[in-house]
Amino acid sequence: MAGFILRRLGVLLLTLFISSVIIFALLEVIPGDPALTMLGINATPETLTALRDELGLNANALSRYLSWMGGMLTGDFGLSYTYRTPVVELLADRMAITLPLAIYALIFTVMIALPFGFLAGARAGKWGDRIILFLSQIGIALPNFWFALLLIFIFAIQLGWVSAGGFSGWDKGLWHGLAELTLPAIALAIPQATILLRVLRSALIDITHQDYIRTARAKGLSRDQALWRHGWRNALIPVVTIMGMQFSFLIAGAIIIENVFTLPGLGRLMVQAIGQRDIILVEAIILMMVLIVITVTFITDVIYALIDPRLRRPKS
Amino acid sequence: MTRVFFSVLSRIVGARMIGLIMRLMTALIMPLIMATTMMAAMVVHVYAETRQDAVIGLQLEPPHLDPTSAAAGAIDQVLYANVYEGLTRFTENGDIIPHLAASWDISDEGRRYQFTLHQDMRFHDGSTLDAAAVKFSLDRARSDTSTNAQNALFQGISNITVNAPDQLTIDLKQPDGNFLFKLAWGDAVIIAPDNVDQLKQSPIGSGPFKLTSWIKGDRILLQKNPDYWGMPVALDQVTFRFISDPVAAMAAMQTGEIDAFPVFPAPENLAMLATDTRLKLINGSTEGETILAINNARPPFDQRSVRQAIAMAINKQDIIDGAMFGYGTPIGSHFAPHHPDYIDLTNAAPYDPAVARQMLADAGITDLHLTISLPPPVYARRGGEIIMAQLSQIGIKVTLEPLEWAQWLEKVFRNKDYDLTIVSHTEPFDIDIYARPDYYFKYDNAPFQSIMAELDITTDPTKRRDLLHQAQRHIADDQVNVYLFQLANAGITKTDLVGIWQHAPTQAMDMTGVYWKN
Amino acid sequence: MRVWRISPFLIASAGRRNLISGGVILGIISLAGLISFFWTPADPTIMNISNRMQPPSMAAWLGTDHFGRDILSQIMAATPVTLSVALVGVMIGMIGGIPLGLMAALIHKPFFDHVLTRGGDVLFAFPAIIMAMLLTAGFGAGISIAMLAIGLFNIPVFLRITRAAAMQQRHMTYIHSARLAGKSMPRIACEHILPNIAPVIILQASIQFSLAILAEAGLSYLGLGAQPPTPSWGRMLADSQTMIGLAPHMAIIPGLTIMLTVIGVNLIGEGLRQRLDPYRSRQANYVEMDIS
Repeated sequence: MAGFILRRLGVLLLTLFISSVIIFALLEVIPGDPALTMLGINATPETLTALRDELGLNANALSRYLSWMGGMLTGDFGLSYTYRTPVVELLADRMAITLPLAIYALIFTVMIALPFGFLAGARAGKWGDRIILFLSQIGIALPNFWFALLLIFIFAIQLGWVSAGGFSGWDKGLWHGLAELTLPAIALAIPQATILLRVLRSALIDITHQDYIRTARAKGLSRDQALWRHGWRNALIPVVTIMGMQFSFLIAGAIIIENVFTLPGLGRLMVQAIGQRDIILVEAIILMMVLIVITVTFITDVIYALIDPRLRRPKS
Repeated sequence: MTRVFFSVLSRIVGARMIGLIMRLMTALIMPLIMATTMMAAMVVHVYAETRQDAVIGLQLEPPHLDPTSAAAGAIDQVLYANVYEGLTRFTENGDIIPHLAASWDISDEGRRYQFTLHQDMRFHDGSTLDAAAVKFSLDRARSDTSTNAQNALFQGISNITVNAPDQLTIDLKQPDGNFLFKLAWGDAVIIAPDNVDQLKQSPIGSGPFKLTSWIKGDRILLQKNPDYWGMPVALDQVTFRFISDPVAAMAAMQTGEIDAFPVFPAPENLAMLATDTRLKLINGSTEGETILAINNARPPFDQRSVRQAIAMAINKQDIIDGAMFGYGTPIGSHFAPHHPDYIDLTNAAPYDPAVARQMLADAGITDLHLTISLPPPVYARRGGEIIMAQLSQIGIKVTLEPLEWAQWLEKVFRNKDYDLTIVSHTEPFDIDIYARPDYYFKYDNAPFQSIMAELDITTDPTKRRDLLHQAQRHIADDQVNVYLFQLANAGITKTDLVGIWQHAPTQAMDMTGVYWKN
Repeated sequence: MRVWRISPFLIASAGRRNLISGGVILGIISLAGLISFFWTPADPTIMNISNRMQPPSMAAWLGTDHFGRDILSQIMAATPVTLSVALVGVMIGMIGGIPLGLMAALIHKPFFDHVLTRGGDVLFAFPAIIMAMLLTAGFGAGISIAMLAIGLFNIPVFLRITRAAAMQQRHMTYIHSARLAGKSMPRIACEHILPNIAPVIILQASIQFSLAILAEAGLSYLGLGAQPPTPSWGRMLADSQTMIGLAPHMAIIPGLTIMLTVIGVNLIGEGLRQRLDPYRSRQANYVEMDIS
């Protein structure tokens, strides 16, 4: 097991390194001068040069990449061009919203998907299953930003129950914060929940046809008993895989949802930073998102290996 | 491990229970969702009757808090007049009045300004605001290594001398009729010399409010400065909340979370908001001349008749209605209608597609295909779509090119690589940009440059007025650009909140005169 | 004892039912898109600002937008745009991903396999939206950028599914006999493996197609897709956002259209799955995911 984890960890670091090169190269190519963007149309050439010097933009690309990487390795992500605060601080501030939002949405996803998926899977072909399947068709086809708009329209504008967006920080207590994240989390969760639900359903249907379930049934267990005792574990593998991927999509989906709900999270910061050509910040945010995605893949792989020991062997 | 867990669980739970649990779980989901939404509903603020605080909505959050090193208008919106002050300042109507400077004498044919400062002025950290601090701030702004976005404002200064703690002499290289106006800009505010290193995060000014906290991404809180040198303000606390999304902004106004949104992000919603009797409209003017800028160096736009044809194909009122939902005033030259020296030139190129088409034909232009570059603001994006439709009426094919600001600045403004673009020039009194031959619309015209040169050194009001009239007419006749409309300062405020600026002569949310009725 | 399993008849009829209903939905929408090349109720680009934000009526069946343009005409004219962006996006993913997946599975070099799958992981770690934003910042917004961003995202998806399916085939006897007959690996891949794994790929393609429609809508909602005057469902939604209180129909109609289209594609996918692959279909080894 230790060898497996080490191997996967090595892959993770390599992926991260390659990503950093790609991100840096992409942002080098993009036109737009951070200094001009900050100072606007009345800036004199001398002022622009002074600012570019101050930001360290006049050095060549390779030395800037090396100093960026070097800084990263020592935990120094540099100073944001526009905000003029350490990138680490900005990231930490914004992660305090994006990460809880994604986890909150994942909880909603699981809370909806597991019971309904189990119900549909265990009662496949029955009316309950058909209704759930029909609703899930709608859920999958729902563009999440449109769903978010409808939620705002109904709950914020028509009913006035919640504020239509914004986040006033965790200082006002956990419940207050969670309340403000509820609509965004639902908007993120519904489409994902329907996907997970369907995966669980198909996994369960598949399992009911396996020999061990038939054996269990033959022993005299009822359908539900057999599924509960022997089915869960096998249904978990596809569910964990999909959940792992979904967490990444919840993070990425947050880019749109944070913009619709004006939540000051990582996604919104990135949209702003790209607009302002705050390249050092954009690089850090994308790298952070990539890190989250591949860490989750890594964790999924480990859980996978825990569930199914056969996967621990190195591939030949 | 896990296997044990599941078999134990199933034994504890008992097989019969499973169906029940499933039903229970499903039954739990709906109440859970309802409970959480109701929790969310508790985010409703209740306020006491007479209030000493105000919550102001702003669309954009400042990137940092140093007005002397960025062009971001959001910085001035929060800090101008509230936290930072200059020697002079703008009023709501665009007049320039003394501020930190109590009075001044102008001598040496307009080349020497002698300022007398108010007595006993202090910064928020307790340090003294005297002539030395003023000299420090202005010298810093005009130095070679300065990163002041409006560095050009200070280039006319040749020397600054401190005569006494409250006496200061500024010598200019040549007479400047606009010098006091330039000192009123947000980029010319006086900063505490000891605080230069922390300027971007913790501003120390001399104003009637001081910064207490900044929750990044959400709000900035200002508290009344009890030791203010000047007239005390009515409000104890001001909260600026940053809401960029128009729907969220509208909902925040409807629920009353926000007391005023003086520059509302979506004009289309104002009419609906104003039907609420607790709210009233703010409809004033800004310094933003919104123009369809033309690359005068690029054929065929170097021909006056082609530019004229484009101008006459455009129905300005349709753009104001369609893009800004009626907020805005048509203009005929690059000059603000509320300025005392404004002349109405909106008929210089009246809307007449038939004539426009003919002019194009007379100029020998057939099958004209052009690109309009559009920066992000809604006036540009929506305006672009409307102009595209209007130009197609006289047979011009248009491609729209949406750009982010960074791209626009690089491509259009710096490299002049564009045909047409829509942009609002928000700097006050900026007709002089037409005298810069290398400016992005590439208008190189000696007669106009000499009018501006003469204006620069003229201080006599009657002569200045005459020159300004000439200037407006000149660029209208030449049809350098298509002058679309003056951007409105359109917003909404609670009826009981008094003193919010109606006009926006500079990007500021001056809270010093704001108070609650009752 | 009650025998509990889905009868083959039920599967077959469910498959037919899904295919028919999905086909009808998608057929109507595609037909409307085709008709839009010759005829729309009104010119989708003609503005009439005094007649803006009208709710649905006899004059404008689905109402007008903020410039007074006919919404039905715009919806119709936007259909081919969305469908072609999604189609090309999936094609890019297939053209890039299938050969790579076959190579990863069939070339007996663990290193090579590793490089390909990890490369896919790196690509996969970039959310399509970020990719589209960066590409747009570099090359300007447009349909081709949206196609490219969706396509790039799809490459690792097809790489994974092809690799997994081909791995299963690798040890089948018919492959061994083909090798003994002296056929080269690329030939075996094309002649034997590809036809055998085709159902899996086709089904994955149908899933990716519906996701690509959603992705196209998301990208144009952010202004990263089709540019005016080309109508686009996503951009119609973006335009409607600030007017949702004034003219809800401007938001509801394009949203419903997107939803219906995706449902249509999903039903067809479901039907195909039940038809082509009635037993494997339940093994849930299709990668279902949301691009945004």
